[in-house]
Amino acid sequence: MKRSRILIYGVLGASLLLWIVPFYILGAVSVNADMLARPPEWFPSQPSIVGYEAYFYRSGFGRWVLNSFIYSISITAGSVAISVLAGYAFSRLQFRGKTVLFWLVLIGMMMPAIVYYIPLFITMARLQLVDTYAGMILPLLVNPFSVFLVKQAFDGVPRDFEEAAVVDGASPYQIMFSVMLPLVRPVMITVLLFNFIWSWNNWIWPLFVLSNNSLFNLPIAVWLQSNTFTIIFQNVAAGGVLAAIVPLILYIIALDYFMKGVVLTGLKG
Amino acid sequence: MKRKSRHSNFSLVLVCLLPFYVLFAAFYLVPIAYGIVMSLYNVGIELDVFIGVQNFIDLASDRLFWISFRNTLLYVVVMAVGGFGPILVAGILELHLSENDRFRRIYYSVTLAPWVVSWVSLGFAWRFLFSSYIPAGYEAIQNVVPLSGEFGNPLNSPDLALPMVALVWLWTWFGFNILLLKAGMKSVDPALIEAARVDGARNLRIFFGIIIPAMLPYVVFMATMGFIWTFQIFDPIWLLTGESGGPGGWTTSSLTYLMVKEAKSYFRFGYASAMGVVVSLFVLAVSLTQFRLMYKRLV
Repeated sequence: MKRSRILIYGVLGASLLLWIVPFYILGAVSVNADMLARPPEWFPSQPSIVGYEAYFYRSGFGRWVLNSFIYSISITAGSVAISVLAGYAFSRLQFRGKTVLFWLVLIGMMMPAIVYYIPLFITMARLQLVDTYAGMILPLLVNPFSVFLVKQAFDGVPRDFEEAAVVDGASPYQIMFSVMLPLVRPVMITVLLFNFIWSWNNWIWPLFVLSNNSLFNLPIAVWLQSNTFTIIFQNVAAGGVLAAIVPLILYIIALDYFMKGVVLTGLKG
Repeated sequence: MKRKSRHSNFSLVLVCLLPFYVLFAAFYLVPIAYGIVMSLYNVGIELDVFIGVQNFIDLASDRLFWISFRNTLLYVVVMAVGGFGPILVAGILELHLSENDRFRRIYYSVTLAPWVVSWVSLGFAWRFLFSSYIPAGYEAIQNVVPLSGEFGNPLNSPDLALPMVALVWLWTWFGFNILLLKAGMKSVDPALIEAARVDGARNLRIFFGIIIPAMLPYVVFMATMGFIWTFQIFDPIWLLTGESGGPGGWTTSSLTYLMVKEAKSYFRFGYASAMGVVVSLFVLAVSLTQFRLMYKRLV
């Protein structure tokens, strides 16, 4: 038993290198580990932060960071608010056409995002919303998956709570916001976090809808920058680190919410 | 009583559903319907001609479409075969290590990390690995073990690029999948495994005979989700092998990749939409089947 435990720690522990090394290399190259040397450097012989400075001193950089926050915060706030309302209705309210409407949510949830970005892009072009904040934000406010998660969360709350509130004379809005919402707080935090990192990391929708440099979010800016200075790997790596840092910090702070959240996405009834 | 509550509910239902469905209609349903319509048109810059199903006929004789289709299926196959990895690891972590073993938590959190980070950053990291560190590692091994051949950047090799992209894809979803399966492990009875051990069953037999059947619903869920995500694989192809479809031309391109190329580079929006319809039909067919199975328990 003891020997098999050690074997497990050894083999699985070694396999973790597969996840640590790529992140490590990105960090090492960003502080000037020479990846073109033979053999390539694992530790920078001449550490420098020139790669980061290439970003910090660029005129657009502050704007990209600001844009990333504007997009992520507004998309997260908006889509979560909308999803809470809709998810609550599907979980607790009775109305005609509920099944059909919910099927629409499910189909929306399963629709490959990248496929629908193409007609969406044309739609935005017709609405003259290409290369605007609205064009970037508005479509991403619709997140059927969040509606689904919120509905699931409310479904898990026993009926007793609201019945007690009804007896106490609470209004339907009081029941929803003051009784039910606090009860699903952990799931709400997960939905908030997921929405935030999804919108932060989204580089494909900006690839379609944004062409103006000053509207880019960090990932798309970093990606397009890498096409311009391909040879300076240090800059490329620094960009990669800068794009990853906010989600990683959030992840480390809220580790449990992320890990539980993944299980939620697969939760079945 | 019931009537009355339904009536007082009406304004609440409206308040709850209106914001979502207005936006949903504007930015989901209309574009999707528009995409379907566009697939019947020749849409380009300043061009809008109805051509019926001509796009789909062209698609059927488009060499690049079939190459990309085959590549997409290859990605799906790698993902399916690779799916045994997470099952195995989740099994070991959950069944051999105790509930409060810190190693489990570390393992889950480290392997989930790629899932929270931008694909752009992951793409850079893997490009560095493939272009320098992995070939150097191979050379180092060659100094010890006489292995033949030169090992350059596998992303530049027409034969190796697709498997490498598929492996990175597998790598990204690994942590996500083992966490999904972790929940399913609760349905495996440790006593049953002990009993099988006593009867002299080998590990492999326990794995296929007890663990996989016990968590079949979760494995099926992982498999269908894996299919849905992999059938629309795009990010790692674009980010790892660039915008020309891979080394030697179209060696790594998937259906969605070709679709984006048609739209963004050649402005053939009608043709791209037709491709989108094909991809969506595959994905929706699989996911609707899955949701039919789940939906019974949902409402």
